[in-house]
Amino acid sequence: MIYYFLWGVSLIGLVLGLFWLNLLFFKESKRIKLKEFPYVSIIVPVYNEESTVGNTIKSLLNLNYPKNKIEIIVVNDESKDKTVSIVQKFRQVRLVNNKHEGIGKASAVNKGLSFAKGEFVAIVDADSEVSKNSLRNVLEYFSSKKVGGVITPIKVLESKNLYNRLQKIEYTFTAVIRELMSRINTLYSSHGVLSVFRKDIVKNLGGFDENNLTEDLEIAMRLKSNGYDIRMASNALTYTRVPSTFKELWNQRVRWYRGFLQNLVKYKKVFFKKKYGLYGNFQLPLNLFSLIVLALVFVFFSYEIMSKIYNWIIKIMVLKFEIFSFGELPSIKNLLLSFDVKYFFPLIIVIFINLYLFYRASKLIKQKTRFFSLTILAYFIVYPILTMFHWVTALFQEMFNTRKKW
Amino acid sequence: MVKKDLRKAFFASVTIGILIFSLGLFAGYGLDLLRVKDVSISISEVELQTLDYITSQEFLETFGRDYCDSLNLKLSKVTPELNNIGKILTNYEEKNIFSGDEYKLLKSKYFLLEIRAYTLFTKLNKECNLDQNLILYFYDQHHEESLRQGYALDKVVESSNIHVFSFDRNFEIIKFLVDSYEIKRAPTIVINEKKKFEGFTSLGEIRDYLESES
Repeated sequence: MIYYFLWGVSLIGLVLGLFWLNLLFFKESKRIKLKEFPYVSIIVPVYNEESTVGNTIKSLLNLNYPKNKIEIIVVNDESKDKTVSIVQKFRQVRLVNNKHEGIGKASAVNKGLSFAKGEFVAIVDADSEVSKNSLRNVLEYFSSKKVGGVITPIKVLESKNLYNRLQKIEYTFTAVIRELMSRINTLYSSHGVLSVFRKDIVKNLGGFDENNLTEDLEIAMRLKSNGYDIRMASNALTYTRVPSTFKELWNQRVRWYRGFLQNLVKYKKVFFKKKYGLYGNFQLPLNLFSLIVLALVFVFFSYEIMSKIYNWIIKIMVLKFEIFSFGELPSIKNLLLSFDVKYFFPLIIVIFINLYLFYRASKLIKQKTRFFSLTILAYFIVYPILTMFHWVTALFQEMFNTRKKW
Repeated sequence: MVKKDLRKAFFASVTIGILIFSLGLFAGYGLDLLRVKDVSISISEVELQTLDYITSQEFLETFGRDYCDSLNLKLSKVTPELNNIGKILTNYEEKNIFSGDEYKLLKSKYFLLEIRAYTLFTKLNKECNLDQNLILYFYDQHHEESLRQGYALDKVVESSNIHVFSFDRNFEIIKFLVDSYEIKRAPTIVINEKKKFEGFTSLGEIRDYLESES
């Protein structure tokens, strides 16, 4: 029975992979030529960011955008390090102090929002940097009043270790998937590495949710559920630093996924409602379905691993110290014939589809990547398992209402 | 427009997906046929070895030559082959797609070959006064105690003068064997036609019994 389920999963994975591949042939999101430059307020929420905030501000000051049409508001969320003194060195920057409230950076962003004079408001985290033309490029995607927000593809700034390199691949994939979602108007996320919104819309909708673990996802979902569109500006490159240790990555992902689950529940009304189009009838149900499949795969793998361990224990109990023997090794012919092609064939095709998507994504964000490396192998083998554990932990924490930690 | 294109894209993906999946099934079936062929060849080889044994025995007996050593050597080569076929058969059977009936036939053939080898060995043991230990092992598939017994017997068989013949007691074709030894439960092992152990028998118990026998 379990094997039929796995079989089904590989078929679904294959169909979805082909579907995303098909979307590559869809038209890119509409762009307009900027006749004049709108005023943009860039909000940078900071909390103990002494090591990175300087570079973030420098990159913002280096933007290829009229200086009189831009304001940079750094909102200090009660930092305890040298963040403030570093920010104060930049005279073009307005520093605002915020009394930290809520569970994330939302209160700082809202504070910045209250000071913002721009027609558009951009959110840039203090561990991120933007490319010279990114802001111009982003604004070209506000092709109609219906477009409430535009996000950017993110590149990983440093690749010091395997964790960084795995995330580098992940971010590359994410860029292409978001681009494809943008093409069919189902994109429903934003991030803190340069996401730009129409200020009035965000303000009218009540600003950022200060009690949400992933306030950037929440605002995007709120925009979508109020009939606004989110676009992806694939040519507006941005850069960010990513977790470098297992613990950092674990905490970040569990927070993200908990936030996702919370927001899924918060916007459950969107599911299967005609007025939300493909977003409510295809994208969100698909993501929920993927989560259920992931949970079932987790149960299956846990069962398989537990039964293997159990068998080993039994074997040890039966054979005691004679467990290791130099019995006959299976021949190559037997190994080849033992290959369970019915499960692995679709999976191999899925891997090739993913490699192609990865190739396209690398081109999209102009990233040089070695396609046949150990990191890629680890990405396809280790990372899904790790991600599965992140999701399951997030699911458990949400089910048992564990304290929300940012 | 997007909706229409999307529908097209979706149906194209489903169609291509099913095609690729069918290709996987087809490849799986092809591999299945190769597996069946592989086991059939191995079984034929053992059949040939058995025929070689029987022919040699008839010849040597008829012309009054000494046959004990040479036949013992011949038969001792058959049992590891049989054990190997048993393992491969179990492994392949788990991966089969459409060849369930073929595997059933192969298994029946395999069990009959084991019975023949066991009979020949018993006969040779008696005629030549050999000290080969012969164990019949009756198991149930996907049965925990049988699995444990299998681990123990895999270890036992590593000794040079011990031969294990394993049987799925639920196979119709070996009903006569199951009835003849009055097998009521799995696992059951019968050692040298003298002692029947019902339920799991530990490695130590088997070895102790074999030592007491010798």
